[in-house]
Amino acid sequence: MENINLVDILIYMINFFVTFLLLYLLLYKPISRFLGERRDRTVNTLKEAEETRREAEHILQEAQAELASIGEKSRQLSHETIENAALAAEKIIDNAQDEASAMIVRAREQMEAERQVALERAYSDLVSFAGVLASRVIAREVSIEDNRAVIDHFFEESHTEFNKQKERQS
Amino acid sequence: MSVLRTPVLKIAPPYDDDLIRRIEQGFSDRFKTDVCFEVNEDPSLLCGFVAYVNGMVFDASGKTRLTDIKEYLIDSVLVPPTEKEEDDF
Repeated sequence: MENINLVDILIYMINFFVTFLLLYLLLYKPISRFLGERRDRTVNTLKEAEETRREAEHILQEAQAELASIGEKSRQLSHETIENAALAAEKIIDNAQDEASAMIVRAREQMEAERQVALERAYSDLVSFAGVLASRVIAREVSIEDNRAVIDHFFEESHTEFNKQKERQS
Repeated sequence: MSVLRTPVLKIAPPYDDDLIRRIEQGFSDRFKTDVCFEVNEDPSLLCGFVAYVNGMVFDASGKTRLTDIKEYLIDSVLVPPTEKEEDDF
């Protein structure tokens, strides 16, 4: 108990409070301000990150919507293309059929014309053949025996026919 | 026996009296009367004869036969085609 002095205790206490005050002013406040600013920055960063995420989600949704729209448009365009192609094919087939019919008609007309030409040629050939035949007959000298044969044949035929007529009349 | 108007005979050369008599005999038998032709030579008949007897014409000439053949051939060509020929065509 001899060493304990009230003055010393008081000095120590004052010393302690002074030290505490100094530490509070020189360390605690700047550190606390620094931590507060850091927390604010973190909060702001998190907020920005959240906003960025929301924007990204929004952009993603828009992109998905646009993609879906493009897909729908693509399907529609494909459908229209197929329909147009079918119509074009049908038109081509109709045209081909019309053309084929016209070709058949033209071919028939041409065949008929060629048939007429062939008939006329055959007629002409026949006439010339008859002419050749006649000229050959004329060219061959007719003998008296030929004439006799013709006359005998005529009277034989005439006699036969005459008898038939008489039989009919009787 | 009655006598006919003068019959006319056109005949292609060559011929002789026997041939003329053969023709006259044939017509005499046919008409039961004497037939005596006025004979005219006609080379355009080619062969045979044409006789004009009692208002009738008896044509046994080669020229007429050839004309008949020619008309027959032309008619056979100009006959319209049958349905089968038309289908084949």
